[in-house]
Amino acid sequence: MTASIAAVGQARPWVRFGTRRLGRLLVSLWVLVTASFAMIHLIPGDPVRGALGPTAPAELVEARRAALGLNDPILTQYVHYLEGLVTGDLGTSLSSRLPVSDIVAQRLPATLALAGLAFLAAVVVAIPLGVAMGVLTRRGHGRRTELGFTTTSIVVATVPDFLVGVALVYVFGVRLGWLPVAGNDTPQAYVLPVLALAIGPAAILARIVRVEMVRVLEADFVRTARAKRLPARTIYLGHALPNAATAALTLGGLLLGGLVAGTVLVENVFAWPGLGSTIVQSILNKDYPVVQAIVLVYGVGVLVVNTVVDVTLARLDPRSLIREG
Amino acid sequence: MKLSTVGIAALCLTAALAGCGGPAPSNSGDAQVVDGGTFTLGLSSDPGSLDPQMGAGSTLFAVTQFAYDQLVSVDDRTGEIRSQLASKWEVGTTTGANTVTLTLTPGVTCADGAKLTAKAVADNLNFVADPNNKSPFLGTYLPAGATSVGDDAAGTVTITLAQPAPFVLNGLAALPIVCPSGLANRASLAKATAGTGPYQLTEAAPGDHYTYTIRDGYTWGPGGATTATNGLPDTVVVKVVENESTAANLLLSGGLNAAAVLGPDADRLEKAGLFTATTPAIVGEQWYNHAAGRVTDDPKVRLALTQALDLDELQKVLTSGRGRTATTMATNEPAACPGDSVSHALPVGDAKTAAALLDEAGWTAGADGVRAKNGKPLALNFLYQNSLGSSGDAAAELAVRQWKDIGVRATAQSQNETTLTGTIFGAGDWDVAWVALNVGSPDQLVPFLSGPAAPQGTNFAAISDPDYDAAVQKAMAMPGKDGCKTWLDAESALIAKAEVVPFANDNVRTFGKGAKFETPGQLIPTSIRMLAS
Amino acid sequence: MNRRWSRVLRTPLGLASAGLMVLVLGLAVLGPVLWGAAAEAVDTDNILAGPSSAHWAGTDNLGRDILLRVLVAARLSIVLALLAVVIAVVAGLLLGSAPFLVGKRFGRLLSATVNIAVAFPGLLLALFFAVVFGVGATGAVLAIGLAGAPAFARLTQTLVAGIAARDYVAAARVAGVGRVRILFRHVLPNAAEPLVVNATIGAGAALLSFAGLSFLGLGVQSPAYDWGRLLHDGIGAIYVNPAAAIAPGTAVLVAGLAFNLFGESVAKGLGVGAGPLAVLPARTESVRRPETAVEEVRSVPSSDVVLDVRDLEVTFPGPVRPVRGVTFAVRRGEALGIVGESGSGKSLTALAVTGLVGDDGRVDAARLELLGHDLRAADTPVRRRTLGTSLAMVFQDPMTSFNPARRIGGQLAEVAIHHQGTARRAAIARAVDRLAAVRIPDAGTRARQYPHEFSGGMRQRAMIGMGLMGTPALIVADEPTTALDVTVQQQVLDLLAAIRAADGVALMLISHDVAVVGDVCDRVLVMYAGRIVEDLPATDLAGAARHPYTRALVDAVPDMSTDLDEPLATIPGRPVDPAHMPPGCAYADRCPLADAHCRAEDPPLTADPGHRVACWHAGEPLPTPRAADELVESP
Repeated sequence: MTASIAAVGQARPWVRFGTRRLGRLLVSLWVLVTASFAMIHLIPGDPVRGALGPTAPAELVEARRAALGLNDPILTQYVHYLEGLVTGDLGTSLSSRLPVSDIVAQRLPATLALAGLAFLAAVVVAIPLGVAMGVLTRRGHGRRTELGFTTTSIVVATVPDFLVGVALVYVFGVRLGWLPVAGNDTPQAYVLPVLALAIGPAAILARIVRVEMVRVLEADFVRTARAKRLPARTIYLGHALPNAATAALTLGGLLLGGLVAGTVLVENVFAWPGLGSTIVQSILNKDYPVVQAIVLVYGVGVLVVNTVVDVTLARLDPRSLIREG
Repeated sequence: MKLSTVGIAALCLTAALAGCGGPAPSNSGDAQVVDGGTFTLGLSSDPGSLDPQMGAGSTLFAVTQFAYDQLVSVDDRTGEIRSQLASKWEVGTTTGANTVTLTLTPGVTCADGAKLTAKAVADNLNFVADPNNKSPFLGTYLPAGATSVGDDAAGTVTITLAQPAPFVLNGLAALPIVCPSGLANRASLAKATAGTGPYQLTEAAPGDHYTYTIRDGYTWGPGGATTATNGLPDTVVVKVVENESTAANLLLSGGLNAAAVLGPDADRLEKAGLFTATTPAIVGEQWYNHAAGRVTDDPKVRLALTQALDLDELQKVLTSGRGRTATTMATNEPAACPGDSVSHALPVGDAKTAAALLDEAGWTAGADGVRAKNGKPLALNFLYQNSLGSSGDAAAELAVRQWKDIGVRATAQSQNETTLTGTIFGAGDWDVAWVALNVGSPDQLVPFLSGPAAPQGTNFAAISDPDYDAAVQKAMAMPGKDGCKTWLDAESALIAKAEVVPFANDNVRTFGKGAKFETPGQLIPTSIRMLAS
Repeated sequence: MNRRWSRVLRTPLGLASAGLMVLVLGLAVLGPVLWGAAAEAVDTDNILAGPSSAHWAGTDNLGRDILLRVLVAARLSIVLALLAVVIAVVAGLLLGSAPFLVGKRFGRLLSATVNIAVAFPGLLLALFFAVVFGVGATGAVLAIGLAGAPAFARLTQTLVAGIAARDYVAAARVAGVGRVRILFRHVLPNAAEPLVVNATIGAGAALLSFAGLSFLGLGVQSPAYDWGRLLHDGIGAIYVNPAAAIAPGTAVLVAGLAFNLFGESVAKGLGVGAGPLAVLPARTESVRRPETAVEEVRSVPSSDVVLDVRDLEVTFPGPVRPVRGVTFAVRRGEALGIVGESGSGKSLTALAVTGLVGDDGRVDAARLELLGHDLRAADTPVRRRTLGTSLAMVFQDPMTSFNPARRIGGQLAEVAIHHQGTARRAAIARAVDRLAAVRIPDAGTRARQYPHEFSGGMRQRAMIGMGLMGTPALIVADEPTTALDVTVQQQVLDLLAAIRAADGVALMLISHDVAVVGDVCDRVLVMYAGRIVEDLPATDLAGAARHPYTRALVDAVPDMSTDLDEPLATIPGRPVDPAHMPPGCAYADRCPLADAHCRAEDPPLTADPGHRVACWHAGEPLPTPRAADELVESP
């Protein structure tokens, strides 16, 4: 893939970058789709027998196999699967008999809202915190602050989101009774799940932003900015932050990817009616078409996030256009 | 594949066949009744396909009530038959056959404005009666072999029964009637409603919620209830809330107006002073797979497995200490046949007698502690429903342990309603299952306890007991409650042989916040009264 | 090795996490032995009880003690997590070292696959594998193990690639040793340490993931129980008995933290030396030393003085004082050069007068004024405006002195926007104009480019252009040509000269290169060890320099008379360490004229209009005419 694209002009880094990035996205997408297709075939033994039990009547097994299209040659199945994806047909749920696309469409917005808000919350908290900490602990300043902040953020970041969720349920739901701990009916119901999901990434992000700020504040161009007698705010936010953000964003992409996956657990803690609670039920019920579709949706989500991050990164740091690929 | 949609009405705890009255709801103070508004009902699982005659899960029953009517209703206090779609009914004998003649209430209209004709009602009954359609109500709510004829001019429907059916009206009181448009386009019923009920479905978000909107001019409710009644909500939202703690939280926060809560969370709802409507139900009932080839095909094994369990302890664990021992197999109050067919009939014994019994049956202890016979280990595939939450898990774990003590290796697996139904009615890969079957009259159990086994019939446990069949023949011939003693004796005989083991009853409580209602088996839509907060 | 490990234990974090590890592992070993039976004791009369003295965390649905079950569950939880990590490491090693074994093409394919897999979050992969392997403990171990494999594969790849590039591996290859043998003999043993460290951290992650899967009901199944399973049961009862959820939750957390922190501190201890908890020396207040030699120089600042510096000192924690009592003035249009070796304090002097010394440095001065504005005053918008427009700075490395993330034009325009209140569009226009003024061709296009698209000389000109955005009275150029190619050095110097000539801007040129300074400047300050040792007109440099150091500097410059066959002259000896300043003349150790007096007493900078020098032997002839001839080689 590299060779053919390398021919595209050097002079237009955006074109080159875009083509490469798109190529990588497509390859990843293909791997993802193939993996989700292969999932059901990777199950040792006959997945249908596995789901129905070894003594299930043969005609039932046969009917179920036919419903899943497992009797066709594998290549035909693959082609059908791809065709289905293109036309938006994700199959039919084995347990509810509803079109899987309906189930996904039904559940996706809640998950998107949760992940999006959590990411937003993490960024909104972490960047100012990281910048402030970076400024406070820049060279020759705030050793104690740095120690306290770093230790706290490491510990906070280690706590998995579902445990944060349990703790939040206990404190704000059981003890204080301030906030609802389930569902997504009211705006208040968003608070705890979003918090549970955002705290860990926020800690990691704040830590990285701080380290990067400290590094960038040492950079020559910050001295240049100071030589220009720019106000502190402009130096920190206008010059240092964009450069600190590059690394933070790379990590932020990973975090957002992890956050998408984190919704699975957090949704189950807070009975959030999203994809996460559905996929767990579907795995337990061996409802393979639903599982396949949701894995696919999550995977696509992660890929989209990564691509968006790379593109943003290229906007922020033009040099990455060249590094890319 | 169709089979797995066939559920049983009573699989679920909250489901009970109409025909049994419920006790009066407890009081929650004298809050002011307010008209209109939205009533949000929490359901523990999604009903799936909404066709009211093709599924019998409890959740489908719950939503069916809003959009569909039955021909008659049952007074929840006295157990008397009352009017609904039919204002008059007559059970008798015409030209040597048993018949039921129902006269429709005039002016009944469907949600789409069409008139509900006698012919359409007869079509409904004949659809259910046709075994090819595989309606789960055949034999349960409508006696097998019944044929119906509608006379539009007279507004009457005549059902001709193949044999006497003592509680036929009780069955009809649970059978929802579909409007002509739905009959014409059966497939549409899966996602929409076509009924005469007080509400109609206006939005379906499967897996999440269903929105029903009130109909004007509805006057043919149970016992003459109308939608003009003060306090009825304009909109009913049925919300799927799988987790019980979540439902409890939503009730407390006002996110739900009503939900049944069985587990430990019920206590805090009670403490919070929420409105409560109670309906008793069997919650623990153990079934054995009698199909040939299963280890539980052997009566001695069934008996031993039953003796090995400490049923009182299981009951305590299953109901978190709030339950009682079972009384009869058709237990919904006021039961058509009250009494006690269980306690004296339950097999007595302990681990020792159970072990002896297994030895006798040729299942001898192997080196690994698991009994085996002809090289085949005594291993059980044990299913239970997940609706009881952690109490169910704990009780199942306890049962597995008690069986292990006598050398039986049981693998417990919790399944949700849909999957469990699919397994016991379809795939059939199970040996022991806890399935709580709740009905109001003993005849409604017949299809489950006899007749063609699943997947062809409703007899999922493949029970074949000539004594029971004979007793049923006898009881069926007796009018109404006269046959009760015979019915109960037939049940006891089954229990004594450990064909089926009811072991725990509990009061299923439906909690209400900002609303009150009645739940004789089901929440009755026209009984809802919104309360000022 | 042992010393390195003991270093891990010496940090508070390392010690604490190691203690936690011992506790957790001990519990895993002993828990089931001590409480296994008690944790199974069913008591149906005591179902779902809250915490009591008999049951500290209450009981579950079967009346079993929750706390005991949590303690007993340690073994299963940890064993499963470790199993998963073993799978992850083994699979990762196979995948990661495969490219080394199977050759380039297939190896590249494998790496690409691993790279794609790494992009997906572990939990997602775990769910995927949980479907494949089925619900249950076995499935979950495989799922979490394989889900962790890509990360280890990536790590292995990196490590293997790094080690494989080393000489001894190349040598082994040349010697015909097989790839498999090389892998096991040379590569893997060297990769072991980082792998072990990462596996420890990985075990923490696996523990948490496993708890997650069991919590979802996809992991350990009843009647077996791990922490996740207990949490799964506990969360349902959280309103009835919160301890049922909190006890297993805490256990998961403590164990996860133990593995993670232990791994982290081992990584730190074995890797980068001092951990984050190492305490740095506290900042000490510098003691202001009375000046030995403050001479009267132009006591009244005349109106054409642009920069007036008196008794400037820069102190760093230690205390170290690299600039010690520097006094000078720069007049309008004057070009002042500061020369000296690196470490002489010349650059710090420049930074100090421009207020750019880092936060850890302290600047003191009796007077520090630019155009009459006190540079020591607090930072205010007005002061910033004054400095921003009247003082320009050119730094040594034009590559790093521009913000890489912003366009050149914008970086120039900023000055006008902030200090002159110019609208953005007009400011950009001005920036283009200034770029043109510093002879950047096609300035309009260039302004829209990023710094990395500029050549070095062009960047430096742009930097000067940035200084011209205002109306500078003084340009401070700190080694402006050092980082540039010889060919463009002259261009930049010419540009500076032209600007000075055109606008009467004063220039302060800091350089280690006497020739450059002599070329460009009117007057030269020679600095040594933080002090001015000589202040002389540039024209005097060649013949009339009086300080031995100045003379040595000048002699070190090759000129037409230098014999090219001789090695280049340098100044013998090393500059003094500012932390260990001798009591007398700092140059004494390297000075051919030094005597006891020199070593005992620091010479003051004596005033002499137009020429200042700090030397007891100023102007005395050097022992040999060309001392450098004997002392050519620097030590």
